Amino acid sequence: MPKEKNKTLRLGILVSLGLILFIVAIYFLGSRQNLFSSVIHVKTAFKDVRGVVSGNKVRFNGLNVGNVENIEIISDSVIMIELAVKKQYAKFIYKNSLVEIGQEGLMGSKLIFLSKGTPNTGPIEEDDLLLAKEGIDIEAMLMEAREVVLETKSVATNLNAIAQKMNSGNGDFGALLNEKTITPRLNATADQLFLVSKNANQITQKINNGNGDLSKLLNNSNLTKEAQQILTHLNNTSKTADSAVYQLNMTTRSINDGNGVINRLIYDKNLANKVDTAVSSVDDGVKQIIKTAKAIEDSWIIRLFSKKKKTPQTADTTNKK
Amino acid sequence: MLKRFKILTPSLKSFFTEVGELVSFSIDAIKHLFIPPFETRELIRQAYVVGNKTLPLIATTGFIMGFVLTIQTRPVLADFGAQSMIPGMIAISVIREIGPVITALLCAGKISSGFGAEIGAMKVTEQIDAMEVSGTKPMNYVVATRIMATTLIVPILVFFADALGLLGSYIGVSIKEQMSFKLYITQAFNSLEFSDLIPATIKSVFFGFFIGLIGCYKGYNANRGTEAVGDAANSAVVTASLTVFIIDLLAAQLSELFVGF
Repeated sequence: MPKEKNKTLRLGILVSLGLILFIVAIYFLGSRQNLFSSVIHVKTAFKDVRGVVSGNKVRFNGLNVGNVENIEIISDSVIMIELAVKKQYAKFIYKNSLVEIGQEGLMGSKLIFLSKGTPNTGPIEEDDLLLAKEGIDIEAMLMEAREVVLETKSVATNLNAIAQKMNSGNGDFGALLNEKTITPRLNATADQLFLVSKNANQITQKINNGNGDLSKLLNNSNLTKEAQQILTHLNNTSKTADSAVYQLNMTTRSINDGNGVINRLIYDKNLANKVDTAVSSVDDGVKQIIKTAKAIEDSWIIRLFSKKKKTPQTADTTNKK
Repeated sequence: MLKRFKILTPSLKSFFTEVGELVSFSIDAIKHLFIPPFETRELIRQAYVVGNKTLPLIATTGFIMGFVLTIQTRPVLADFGAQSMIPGMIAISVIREIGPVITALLCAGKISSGFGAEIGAMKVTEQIDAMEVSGTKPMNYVVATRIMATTLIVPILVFFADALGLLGSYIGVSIKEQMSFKLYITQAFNSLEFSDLIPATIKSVFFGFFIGLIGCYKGYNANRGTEAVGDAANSAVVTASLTVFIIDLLAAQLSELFVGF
């Protein structure tokens, strides 16, 4: 009999533990579906519920705050979704919150997202109607991705054609890739450029070291000062020259416009003739004077009182005369 | 009337005859479940045998199944970066299918064959006849108690198998990554619905009922002779295992029909 009681006890423990496990499972599932917590029911209307089913989670700020209670089709373009939101979270969800259908990852189940509203509208209440918002549709994204893939395929085809052309040596790029003489030429050019740069480097080094005129020009600041002084002098000189030219210009203008002697000398023909005549007369007069002077000189009276004797040459000349 | 069935082959005829006898036996057994005298003490004894004696086997198998399933699944999910889906996936697999079916198959192997052999031996040794002569109703004492015991205890064994399967899965996950048990359980139950647990539980009740019924039927209808005991046990295992799969198939179809999964 005690053995039988022991068996009954063991069986009782087994059954109790089994039932506890079952009840725990029921509790976990029930609490997840808000069976053991008070909820607030709100509604929203969508044109397309995109596969949302009763029991899908309702998420607010990343927190599961409830689940989809019921889905009812109202008309051909309106489907009403009833959401059960846990009362403890309802005070944080405002009446102008927007409802959006989303998805848990790429492969996950559908979710209902509640956006933040503004506090001035007040928290949601039983049977409130929340506005729906068109969310991101995975199918639409996939369609877009398909278009992108097609475009990429087209681009790849074009690239392939370009690559083929380049391989066959068509065009400049093809020549660049396939022509074997370009590289040696480029190498030679590069070598020359290297030499040029080397020379340039040497020149710059010399300049930096202060060798040669260019270096002095670059490095010696006295030259600049001297050049500046020269330029200053040159500037002054040019000013003086300007003034002189101005004066000369004024003088020539006076000469040209005036009635002075120079103007008349230049422009008056009569005066020129007179001057010419006068010069001729003067010339003749001078000749007469010279002749007279010779005559006087050669006269005996003068020679008598003069210490100067008649030179043979003079005598000859006189005789000839 | 029998002339109409002459076209059937002997094996088919034998199959349908056995199905008919099984149905008749089932009706008789179900009837005796509700007809006094209720053999409570024998029921407890049988429940103890079915439950407590089978629990270590079920627990070990459930644990290993959860562990192995996790270890095998993880690399595939890791390729998609979806390791976080392991708890949910294993929970659904274990609670919906693996827990009930593995438990039922083990019970078919251990309990149904045991019933077949035990009742077959009773039949061979004419203990059943002696019971009838002594006024004890063998259908009440031997059959109804065993069927009732398996019907009640197999679902409880399934709960244990589920729980230990999830524990094994958690250990399998913990080997590769850091995850708290609380997080594991939360993720596991986040993926579960009542529509996963309730049909599986109902299915387990049917598994238990048919495991007991087939074991008792095979033993009760065993032929005379010691060899028949072995045949009854063997036949009970095969038929019960097949029945488990057929019930599972029907349960999957029916749950899809009624629950939508």
